[in-house]
Amino acid sequence: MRLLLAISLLLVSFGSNALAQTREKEVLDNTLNSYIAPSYVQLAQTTRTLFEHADALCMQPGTANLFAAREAFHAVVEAWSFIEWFRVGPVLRDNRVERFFFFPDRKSRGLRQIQSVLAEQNEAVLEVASLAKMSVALQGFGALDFLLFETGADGLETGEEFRCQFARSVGANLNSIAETLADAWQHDQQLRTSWNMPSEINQLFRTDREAMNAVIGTLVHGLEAIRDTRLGVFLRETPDRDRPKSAPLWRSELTMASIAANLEGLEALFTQSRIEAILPEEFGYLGDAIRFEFGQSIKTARELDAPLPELLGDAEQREKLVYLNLSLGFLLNRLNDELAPAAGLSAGFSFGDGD
Amino acid sequence: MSMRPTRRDCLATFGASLFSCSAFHRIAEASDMRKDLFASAYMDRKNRYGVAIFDQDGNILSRYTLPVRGHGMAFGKISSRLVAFARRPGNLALAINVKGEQPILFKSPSHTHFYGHGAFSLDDKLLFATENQFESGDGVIGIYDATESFSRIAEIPSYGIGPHEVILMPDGYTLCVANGGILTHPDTGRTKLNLHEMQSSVVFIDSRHGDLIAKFDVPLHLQRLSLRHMAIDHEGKIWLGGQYEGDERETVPLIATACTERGIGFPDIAPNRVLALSNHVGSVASSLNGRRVAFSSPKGNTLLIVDVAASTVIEQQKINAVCGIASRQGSFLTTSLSGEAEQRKHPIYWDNHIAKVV
Repeated sequence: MRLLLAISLLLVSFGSNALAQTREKEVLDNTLNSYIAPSYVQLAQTTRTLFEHADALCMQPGTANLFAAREAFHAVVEAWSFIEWFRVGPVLRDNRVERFFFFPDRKSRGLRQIQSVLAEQNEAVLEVASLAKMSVALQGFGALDFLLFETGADGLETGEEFRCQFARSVGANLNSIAETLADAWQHDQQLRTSWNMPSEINQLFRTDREAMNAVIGTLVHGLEAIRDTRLGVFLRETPDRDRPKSAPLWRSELTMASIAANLEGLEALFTQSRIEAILPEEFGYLGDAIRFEFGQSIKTARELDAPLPELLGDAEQREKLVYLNLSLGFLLNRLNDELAPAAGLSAGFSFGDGD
Repeated sequence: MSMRPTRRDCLATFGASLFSCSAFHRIAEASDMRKDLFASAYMDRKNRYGVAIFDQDGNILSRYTLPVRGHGMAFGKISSRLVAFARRPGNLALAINVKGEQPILFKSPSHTHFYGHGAFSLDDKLLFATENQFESGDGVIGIYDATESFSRIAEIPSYGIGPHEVILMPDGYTLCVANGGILTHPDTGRTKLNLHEMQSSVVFIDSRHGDLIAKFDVPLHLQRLSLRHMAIDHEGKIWLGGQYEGDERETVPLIATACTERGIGFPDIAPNRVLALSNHVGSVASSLNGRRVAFSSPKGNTLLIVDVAASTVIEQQKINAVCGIASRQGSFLTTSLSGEAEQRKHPIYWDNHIAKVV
């Protein structure tokens, strides 16, 4: 009788393990096919459009073409922000993250480099191949934020050739990076397998637990980074210490759009991965609770649609920014203190973030 | 003389709040019985921080509260003082006399923060702490008067960015520092600001006047490898564990050696052993006789033990969330981020390091 009981327990245990593994595999498949690959495809498409509009602007300078190039830049910022905090695989090679968006640049080295290139008309930036080997700060958003929006950008309407060709080259550079990422996650079977098939010989993940750590880690570390490096750099303890010109993309007034898209991307990762499926039944409420918190944060960020000095100068609007900061903290608590332990990641999640 | 308590007194009382005479007796008793004692920082289930002293079986004998999260520790055998450092970007450290005096909480100066590690001088009169001079980004070694109140008396350069672990070499004056190479600033929390140009290095510094004895950079093809933790073997060679900041699909050597004569070397460790470390070594410790060195990976749930003469892995253990390691008679004692200390499971999260305290 005892033997039978033991065998049945073993079978039940084996069955539940197999089920758990299937659920984790599904989470990885969902993440790959519904979040990672499509996000990079979108990034590739928007960067292609940006290049085309920058090219058109250089060929035919004018208000309409400048407007179109700026709109295309806005679309690229949204697309990048959506996948920005996913830091796995090819985006970590060849400094691709920093080449896309080097931020924060505490000492404004990038600004000085861009000004110097413009002053010297350094033609090395006009060829993608040579630009790709130059300072990361010249290659991505920092450069476009300046070239398309800083004082002097109106020269693009009247045919300021070098400035326009520099912007076009940056667009081509970003497109090249984005195409590489999209292609890898769509077609490189080795990469795709390393993501969704953990094993002892897999260089990315040895176990399902490591893979789940990566998914939840992207959410946690992404939120921490948004709070610390995007909001925190300009929203200080008191209004008199606020620093609107330290904000990301303040020239193009895309600061809040990028933060909102950051949050939308993380919410999409959470929802599309269906990671809540790995939670025990009693934690079924967590999925909706986390989505609610994300929803509140995203709504707040999208509503803050005005130039930063205006937002920071208006007590009510500034209060909303403070609320956004707080709501990121609530989300982090949910993920750290509830989701991660419920998913079987027993050490407090942020606690294991290394040092 | 004013009887008003000083700020330092108040801070000291804070650190001592969980200490009691019975705890002191338990430590004394364990010491008399020649039991090994160890210390590690922790966070409890209510997110409160502290340092605990425990015996070789994992039984906690005493606890000290910390206002911030602790990381590594330094222990002075002559003074019986243990110093627990806040991890970056914290600026507090708690000095505990395990024989019963009031703990002293002290701070780094306003222009630096701690990186979580330090070492005593040979006579225990000075304490060396790795610090970040965050406006310039330069790494420094803060030097503190450890005879009484831990006032900061000097600083010397670490000759790199992000100095992490520091140890005193057997000659009694050379400091070996692992510069992790990663720039951070308190304004942006723990965000790594320079991964595209980070440069880790191992340096040997004359602690008497701060002169650089030797500096060895991690080679260019391993630019995103951050060497952070280390231990010294019986021949005075340094063994280091790294953390890789690049694409995890790249297989990089996470275990390195360093000495002033030959610089940085990468022992030929079997790739499947390195793979088990998940590109992240959290702690390194050498055995009592210095002939074996252990490397832990909380991400890979793996403990590797390397025979230093043969440069080969002689033991590999799967231990959930293992990180803290300390030498003890015949083997290594481990703690895990999930609360295990040897066979004992505590309702706390152990931080990354263990110090042997008696």
